[in-house]
Amino acid sequence: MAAPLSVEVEFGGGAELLFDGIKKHQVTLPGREEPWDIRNLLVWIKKNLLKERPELFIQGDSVRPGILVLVNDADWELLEGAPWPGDPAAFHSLCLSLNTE
Amino acid sequence: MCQVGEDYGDAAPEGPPPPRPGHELKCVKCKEGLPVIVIRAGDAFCRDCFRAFYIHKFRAVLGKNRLIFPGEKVLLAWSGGPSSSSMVWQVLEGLSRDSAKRLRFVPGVVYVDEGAACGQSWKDRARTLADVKSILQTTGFPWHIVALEEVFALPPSVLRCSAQEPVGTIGTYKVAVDSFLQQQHTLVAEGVGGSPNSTPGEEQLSQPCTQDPQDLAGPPPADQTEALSRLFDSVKTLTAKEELLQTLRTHLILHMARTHGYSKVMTGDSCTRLAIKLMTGLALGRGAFLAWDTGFSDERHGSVVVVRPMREHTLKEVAFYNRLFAVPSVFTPAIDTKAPEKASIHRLMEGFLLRLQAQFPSTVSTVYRTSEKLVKAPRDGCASGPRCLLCMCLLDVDTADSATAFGAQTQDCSQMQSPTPPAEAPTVPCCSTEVGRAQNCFRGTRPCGREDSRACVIEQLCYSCRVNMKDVPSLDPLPPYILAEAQLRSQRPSPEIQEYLVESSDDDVHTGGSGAWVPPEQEGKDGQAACDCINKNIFN
Repeated sequence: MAAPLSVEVEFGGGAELLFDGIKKHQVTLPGREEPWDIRNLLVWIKKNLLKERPELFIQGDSVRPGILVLVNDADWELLEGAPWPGDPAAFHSLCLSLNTE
Repeated sequence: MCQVGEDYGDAAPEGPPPPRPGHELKCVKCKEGLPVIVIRAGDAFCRDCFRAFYIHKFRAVLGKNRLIFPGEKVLLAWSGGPSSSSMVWQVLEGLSRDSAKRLRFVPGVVYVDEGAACGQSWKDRARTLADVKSILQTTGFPWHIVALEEVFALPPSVLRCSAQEPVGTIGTYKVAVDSFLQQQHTLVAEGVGGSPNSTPGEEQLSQPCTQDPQDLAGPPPADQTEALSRLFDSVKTLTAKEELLQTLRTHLILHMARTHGYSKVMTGDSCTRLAIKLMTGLALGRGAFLAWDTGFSDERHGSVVVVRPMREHTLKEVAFYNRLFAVPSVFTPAIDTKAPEKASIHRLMEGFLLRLQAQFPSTVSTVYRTSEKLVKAPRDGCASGPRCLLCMCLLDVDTADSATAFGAQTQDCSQMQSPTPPAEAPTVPCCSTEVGRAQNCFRGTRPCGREDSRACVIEQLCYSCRVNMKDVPSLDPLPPYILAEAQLRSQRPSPEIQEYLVESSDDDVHTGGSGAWVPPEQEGKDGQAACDCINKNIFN
């Protein structure tokens, strides 16, 4: 049983538009059976933080292509498979639909 | 993979994921550092190697192409977005390095405030502009802020391709660089110019920043803002709006460059953005101009060359770099911010490519490599000819070819204009098939009717601009310089028929104020054939 987790979540590159323009969020994730990982975090964000237009951020159970996921300022791809220890996560949009070039 | 009987039904939607490096991996370059980013398919770089790689790419692109001569004035088009911010930052860093490897041109920065086209209030725009100004001031370059409304004050000369200076060869480039370095050594030896590393250009930079006299102390004239909003509201589709916005922005930046003596403009188009642009261009009918739209250099404007130094950086690399090294940027909502995926061709293509890229990480680079292979060969071997009024590319329309779908389209267009259908040459929009009717031709002194003036503009556009104009129901809200230039061009005889002009005016023929029209053979039954001949020469 994982204890509640307090993490810092950041949105950038225009993604913050979908979260009332607020870039940094300090959130407390409730405890759950398995340890938290990024995918669960995404689901939680969609339910609790995302204010509008979910399709511009989430696709299925992962981020929409064009949204970078960084954990501790490092590429999420490097973390794939390894558990997420609750380090600060950031979601950065590359899509022109959320920002200029 | 593609076999008869293969069941696609249960193909995994994600496809086979590329092999992901584990977190025990080291940087592929230095083999020591902890990787922070994965580039391409599986290359993990540590922070320092990534930085070196990024900077090296920027300078390699500039160095490889050898288009920017030392001491040249280059205008950086900054939109506030990540790629152009990164570009400005790279230039800033590049100029401050040790003399051997330093960038050697003289930059200025321009920012176009497009808030009116996006429906923003002046209060919001002012807030963004304050951020923009503070960032521009930290760069130390001469900077200019222009509002998009200023397109309403542009002169028609913006649309004319000014005389192109001969492009330097590699030999010329080397000579220029050598003489520049020589000059620097001389300055140092004579003790002129302060620090040994300074150049005449840098002297300029250290002076207080020049800014446009029209610098926005307050909002632009309300009537211009209203005219711009009216223009963009009248456009029916988002695709056409985006294209129009891009066109107007280009004209404005071009005008700024010409006015202030810049011979090059650098735009921050990244690899990803150019790949999307290439595919979008194909969908919009710009296939003939892809080499100019997506290549490193774009010389269609003559004296001002547009250069794209960020074209080898993917958006992911740009975003990472900006984040890791704190490159300042300003978020400005665009005309299509938060637009759904199917709102425009641009959005659709972006979604398509980014989705494909997620599964096949070589997508963007493949499209990009293809764009590198496009050759700027002039059509039919003729390097000069009429240019599109809006995008200034050589016209790709073959108006005599009525067998194509395009020919049929223009036939419809022309038949709408003239009350009686012209006898032949269906692409002639004006009623000039008979010499006698030249009096009623819109090229004559009679003022154009609305339909005529629309036809007058449309016939001077390339295929994709024509398609865009279909979504603009009335050409009246367009900025006056476009309409004025269209009028001017339609009254000017093309070079081909200059040879048919004679000094003395003919009694039978009414002139358009541009010389006497005399068919090479007599009128009458040969008149028709003669006019065909003239028309073919005009419209080919």
